[in-house]
Amino acid sequence: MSSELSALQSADKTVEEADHLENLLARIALKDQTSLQVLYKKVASRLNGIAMKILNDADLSNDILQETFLQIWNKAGEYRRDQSEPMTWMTSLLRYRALDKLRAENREQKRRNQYEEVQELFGETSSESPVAVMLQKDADSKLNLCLDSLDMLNRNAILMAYYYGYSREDIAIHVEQPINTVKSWLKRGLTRLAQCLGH
Amino acid sequence: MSGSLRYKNPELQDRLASNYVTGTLRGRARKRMESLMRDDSGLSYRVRQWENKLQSLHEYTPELSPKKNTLNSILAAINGAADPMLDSLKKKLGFYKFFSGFALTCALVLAVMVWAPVGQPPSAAINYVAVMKDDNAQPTMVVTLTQTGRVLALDMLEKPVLERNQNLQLWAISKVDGSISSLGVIDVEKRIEKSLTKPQWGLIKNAEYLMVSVEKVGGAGLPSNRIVSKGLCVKVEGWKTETG
Repeated sequence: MSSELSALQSADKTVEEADHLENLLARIALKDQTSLQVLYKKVASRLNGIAMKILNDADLSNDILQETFLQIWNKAGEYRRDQSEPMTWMTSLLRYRALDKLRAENREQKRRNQYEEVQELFGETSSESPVAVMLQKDADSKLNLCLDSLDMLNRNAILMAYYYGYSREDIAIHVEQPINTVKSWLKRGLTRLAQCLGH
Repeated sequence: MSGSLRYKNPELQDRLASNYVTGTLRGRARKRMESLMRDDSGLSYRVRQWENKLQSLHEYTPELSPKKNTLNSILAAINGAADPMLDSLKKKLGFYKFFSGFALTCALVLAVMVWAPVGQPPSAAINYVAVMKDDNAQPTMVVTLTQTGRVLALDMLEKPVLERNQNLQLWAISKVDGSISSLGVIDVEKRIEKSLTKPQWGLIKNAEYLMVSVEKVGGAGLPSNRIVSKGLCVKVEGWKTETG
């Protein structure tokens, strides 16, 4: 009973925070710089952490964070709450810029050295990677239940691509499998994930 | 089935959307997808669906504080002001504070002209400049490169403190393949000048960044984790056009 209550309280807090972020975005659409600064203080560290996972370079993740906030400044008027939550919208802006940057900087080759954390995904022992922690903590969430139902190789290929920004080629090198194998893991995994999530 | 009709197939749309959101769609395929999304609200709806479903994967991603100057840079860009880093450089070079009324471009062009090596013919123009910053985005070194004589001049605005058994080493990071090549060990001096070899000049032409690291005496084959300064290597003409 108490866990249900705490889940409800946590959901309320999430909605409250999303409302606040939406409000800030609405003010930013009216070119209110104070609201942009408030938004920055609230979400910059979170967004920078996400960029860092993909780019694995503090300078580049800061560059991307800066570009993303300029994009937020210019596009806040296009944000629609009925299409996505504020944090999802901002994360998507950031992730797509980071993926473009990976290609522009030709950094994908270098990122192949970022093995340790990714390797944990494939390890047999208990893992401390943020993804593994998330999978353990939110074991009852729909996404996690669905990810958990996938074949491990399919699931890990999806996580490597989405969370760490690995291209199909990078995944193939990392797991020492032909690229066509990786393509079919991704295709099969994403199809099953979509079915499970009820797309 | 014609090309555009093919993309109306819900199964294909969902596959494209999932590949776009996970990031496995790269390069031209990604751009093509973005163009399709602009014309097809159904396709962008599917992309939003995937974004929403996968967002919770970031819930436990460790936060990382941005650099101190990032917010100022954002606000400066919004207000059309000069980059705060360049402002800071201007302040450090006392002489140039009197040029505050001039365009920043003029100030920096003047700066690189004044820094040009003494005794060099007047026709020797600076070809590349790198304003190098530390971890807190504070300018600490300025490198200028002159093709005539292949001269590299490095001015240290702040001298790093080194142990007895350490050297500074200068590196070029290629914009072509991201490879890192040594430009040699440098002394801790207010101003250093050195002539580059032809292959080293080639590294400068291809460099996206220059950086300085702390290494053991004699230098290393690859940079250590102790990067003390790093900055974009900018062709001066290109920089003048962009900022002027």
